[in-house]
Amino acid sequence: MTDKRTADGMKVERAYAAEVVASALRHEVRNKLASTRNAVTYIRRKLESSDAWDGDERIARFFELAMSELDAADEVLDERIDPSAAFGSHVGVHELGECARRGATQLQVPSRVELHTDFGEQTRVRIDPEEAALLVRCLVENALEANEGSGRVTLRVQRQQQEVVLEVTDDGPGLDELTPAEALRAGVSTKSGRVGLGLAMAARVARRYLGSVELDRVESETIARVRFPAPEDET
Amino acid sequence: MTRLLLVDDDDGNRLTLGALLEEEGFDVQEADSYETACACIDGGRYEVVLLDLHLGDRSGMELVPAIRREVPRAAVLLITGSGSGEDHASTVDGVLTKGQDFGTLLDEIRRGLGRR
Repeated sequence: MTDKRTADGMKVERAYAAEVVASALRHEVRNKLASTRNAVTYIRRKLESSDAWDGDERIARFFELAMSELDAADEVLDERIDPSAAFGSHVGVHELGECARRGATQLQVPSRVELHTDFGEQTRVRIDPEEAALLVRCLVENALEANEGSGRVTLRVQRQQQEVVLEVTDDGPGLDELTPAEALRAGVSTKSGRVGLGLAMAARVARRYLGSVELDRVESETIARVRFPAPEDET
Repeated sequence: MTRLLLVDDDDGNRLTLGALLEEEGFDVQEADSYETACACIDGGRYEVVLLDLHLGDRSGMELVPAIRREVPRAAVLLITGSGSGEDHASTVDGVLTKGQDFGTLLDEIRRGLGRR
């Protein structure tokens, strides 16, 4: 099958995937560094009043070294991968419906899946079009996987009062035993062999533009819903 | 003795930070999850609550309304990864960075107590 993503689209996707994975690792490693630092502090306090401390100058030096190495490790964790640095930023006010339409054209939709689209009017939001297309691809691909190559997926973008709401609905089996918060986390998937980055990447795009992601189950349909604020001059 | 509730789902952090705080004279109660923290807060008596932002699938911030209701005199200090606590600074009495120097953490706890 031909990959329909643009060159910029692929750069965006790689940058987001890298940052999502790094963020998950960062959180876990930071916890370990913090508890190690606390343990080193505790042991130092106990040793400082002992004979061993005064008897070997390297003990104090090695404690200093341990703390400085922990500081250095923290600094490495603080480095972030900025998606816009990967491809240049085209952030502006764009019709989210048009961005969604574009993202949908880049999808590989199985022939047995009915993909329905519904794009309303006045769906302008502040976003980068490639990142919006990535968000749509991630949500729709997640829905297509949930349907296991058949069924119905709906992509809808509508203005609702002061918000622009993008919804992807599928009639697949739902989240199994996952909570919505778990499903949005990187590395979590209901499908064996899947890395589980798509929803986490979509959530990251949404948050970058002050949006929010919800997962809902209504009757026999799963809904991934992203809410963006409408631009201030349009509220 | 100042009663302190330490809410953190990371075992290593809870163990080591709890030990350091006890050495400083705090009476430390530990909660390893959102649910355990809810049980501690209900009817609890604390002067300080140290709250990790990330509690598994929940946010530590979800506990703040219950803390303000059940233990209104407690200073609530949020513990976060680098740069992720600024959004919540106005809702709590202090924001601590995970892994920061213990002396700095103690100063922030005392400042938080002073604000309440």
